[in-house]
Amino acid sequence: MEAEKLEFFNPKVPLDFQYNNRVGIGIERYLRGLGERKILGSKCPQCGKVAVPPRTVCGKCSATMGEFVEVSQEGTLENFTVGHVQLVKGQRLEKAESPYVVGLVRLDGVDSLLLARISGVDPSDLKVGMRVKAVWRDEVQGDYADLDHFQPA
Amino acid sequence: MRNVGIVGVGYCPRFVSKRTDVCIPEMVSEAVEAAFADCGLGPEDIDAVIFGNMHPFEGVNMPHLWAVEHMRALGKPVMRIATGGTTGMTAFHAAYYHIVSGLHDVVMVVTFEKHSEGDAQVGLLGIITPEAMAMMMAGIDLTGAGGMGAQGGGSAGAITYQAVSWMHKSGATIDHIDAIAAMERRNAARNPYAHLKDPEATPEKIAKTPMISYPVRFGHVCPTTDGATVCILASEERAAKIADKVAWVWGVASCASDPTTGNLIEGLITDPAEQRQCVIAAQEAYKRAGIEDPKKEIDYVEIYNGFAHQTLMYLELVGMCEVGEAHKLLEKGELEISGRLPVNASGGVVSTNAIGTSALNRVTECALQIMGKAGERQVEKEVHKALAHGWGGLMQYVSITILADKPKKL
Amino acid sequence: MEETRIVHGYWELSTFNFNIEARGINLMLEGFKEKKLKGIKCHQCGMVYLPGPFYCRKCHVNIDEPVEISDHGTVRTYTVQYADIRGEPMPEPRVSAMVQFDGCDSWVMGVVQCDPKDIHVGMRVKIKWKEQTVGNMQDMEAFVPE
Repeated sequence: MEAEKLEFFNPKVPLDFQYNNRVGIGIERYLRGLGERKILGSKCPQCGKVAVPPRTVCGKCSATMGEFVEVSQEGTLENFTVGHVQLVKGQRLEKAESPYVVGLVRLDGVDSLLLARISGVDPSDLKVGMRVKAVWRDEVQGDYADLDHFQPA
Repeated sequence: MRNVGIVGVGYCPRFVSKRTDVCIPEMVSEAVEAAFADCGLGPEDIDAVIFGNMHPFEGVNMPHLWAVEHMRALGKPVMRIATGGTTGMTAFHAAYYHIVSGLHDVVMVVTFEKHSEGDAQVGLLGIITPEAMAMMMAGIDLTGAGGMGAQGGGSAGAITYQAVSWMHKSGATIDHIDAIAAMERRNAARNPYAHLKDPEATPEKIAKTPMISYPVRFGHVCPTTDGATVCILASEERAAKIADKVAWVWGVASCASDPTTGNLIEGLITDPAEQRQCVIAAQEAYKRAGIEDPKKEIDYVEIYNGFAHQTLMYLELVGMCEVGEAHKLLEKGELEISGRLPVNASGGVVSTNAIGTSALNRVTECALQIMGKAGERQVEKEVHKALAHGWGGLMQYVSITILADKPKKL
Repeated sequence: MEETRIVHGYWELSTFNFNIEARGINLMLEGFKEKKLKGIKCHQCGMVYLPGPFYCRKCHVNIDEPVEISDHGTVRTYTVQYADIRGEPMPEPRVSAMVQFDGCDSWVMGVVQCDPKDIHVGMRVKIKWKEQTVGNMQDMEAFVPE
C-alpha cells in the first residue's frame, strides 16, 4: 500500500464519562476525623504498625485493620520538593505564582508518610529531619482541605 | 504439562446494585478474605495474582495496583487482564497458564466490578471504536434512538439483532426467552450471591415487563451489579495438600471473531447470531479436554448470558444440543436444577452482572457444583464434568473452560 | 455499613484525537451523491464490503477495487425499539434492520419505514434516498419495502 493513497477521518468521540468513586471506610473515617481537628490512623492488630490516612489492610503484613487511632499532629519532615509549576484542573501545567513546598511528613508514632503542603518556611531553609506541626484551616468542614499545611514546630 | 485445580472460591458477601460503604479495594478485600477462608490459605501461600475488570467502567486506570495491599499481593507479581465480558475467564486462563507452565504453583485470580461508580450504559458505548465515531461524523446519530442507535446503544442495542436472527434460525419464540429468564430468576433466588432474585418468577410475569427493543424485554436483561469474586488455583501436587475437594481444569480455549460492534466503517460482515468464535473455542476446549461427545460427557453448563436468549443460543453453539433444540429442552424442563442438563443454577449473568466477575463466576459456579459445595443451588444430578462459557469483547470473543472432578490423565 | 462519600472523576474522550483510515467510507459517501452504493471487492476471494475496508477481512490482502451495489436488499435481522438508550419510552416504536444489499456481503443497519407488524427476516427492502443528496449518511433517509 502506498502511503500517499491514505485518507483519514479524525473523529471526535462525543463521550465524556463521569465517575462517582466511593472513598471507602478508611478515608471516610479520616475525613470525619479532620472535621474534629483530629488526625486518624489505623493500627495493625498483627504487627502494630500505624498508617495515616487509615486503610483497612496493613501495608506491612497484609492483616485486616479495623482499629482507628488518633495520632500526634507533630512529626518530622522526611522528604520535600519545591514546585514551580502547578496543575490546573488536572489537565495542564501553569507557572505557579510563587514557589511552593510539598513534603512527606512522618507523624510521631506513625509508620507511614503523609503527603502535605509545607508553609511558613523559606524553601532554602528546608532540611530533611526538621520538626513540623499541623496547621488547620479556620473553619474545619470534614474534608481534605481542613488539614491546610504543616509548618516548622 | 501438569494438572491444575481450583482449590478455593470467594465471593464478596453480597452482589447488589450499589455498595455505598466500601471503595474498590475494600470490596476486593472481602472476596480475597472469603477465598482464603474457603481453602485455608493465606497471603504467604500465593505465588502470583491475576486481576480483571472492565477497562473504563470505574475510571480507575490501575485498579490492580491500587488494590495491591487489599488483595494481599505485596511483593508478588500482579497482572491485569481485560477482554470485555470475558475478562474474568481470561484472567482465570492466565492463572492456569502460570501454573501449567511450571513457573508458579499457587495463583489467585481477583475480579471485580463496581458499576455504581461509573455509568455502565455510557461505559458500554465506550466499547464502540473511533471507527464507529467516524460514521457518526458522516451523519449517523449513534447515541440517539436511530436505527444505528439500536446497534450503538451498548451491547443491549446490538443484542436485539442477535436475538431476532437466532430466533429465525432456531424456530424459538419470545415465549421461550420469557421462560428461560423466569427459570434463571428462580434459580437466582437459591443463590446467596445473586442480585436479581424472584422465587415466584414465571414466563407470564416476565412477559409483563416493558419491551425495550423487540424481542428484548426489561425482564430479559442483566442488571448492573457491584461485586467481587476470587478464585485460587494450584498445581496438582499442591492442590492435593490444600483441599479435599478440587475442581480440575481439563481444557481451556478462547477465540476472537469479527467485531459485530464498532467495526462499522469496514462493513459489518457478521451475523450477530453466528458467533462462530464460540463454536471454534468450544471445539478446541473439547479437544484439549479429550471430550468426544459433549452431549453425553458434560453434566452441567454455565452460560454467560447478559441477555436471556443467549442461554439457549450458546447451548446450541457450544454443541450441547443441535441448533433449534435448546428451546425444546427448556420446554421439557431439562434445563432446570432438577433436570437432565441443568444450566445456570446460579441464575446466570442475567441475574447478576458485575462484569469483571461474570465470566469467572461461570467457572467458580461450575467448580462449586463439581465440589458439591453449591448449597441450595446444587443440582440434583451428580456433576463429574462441567462447561463454563464466557462471552465478551466487541460481542465477538468467547472463552470456554472445562472442569472435572478428577485430575486429567496426562 | 455506613455510607461513605463520593469523589467525582472525569474522562473526557472528546479531547482525544483518532486517525481512522477512510477511503472506504469516502468512496461510499461520494456514491451517495449519485444515489448509488459503492463498496470494495476483494480481487482474491470476491467478498464485497460496504463500506469497504482497505484489506480483505477474510483473506488479509490489500483491496481497492470499487464495485457498485444494488440499493435493493433483504432484511437479515431487525428490531423494533420501544425505549431509547436511557430507557425512556420512544414517542412511537421504531423499526430498524440489518439489510444485505444484492451483490454485497456486508450487512448495513438503518431505520425501516414500515408497520412494526410487517417487518420480518427475509423481507425485501430498498433505499429511500433524500431528494437532494449531499454525500453524508443522512442521504440514506430510510429503508422502505420494495
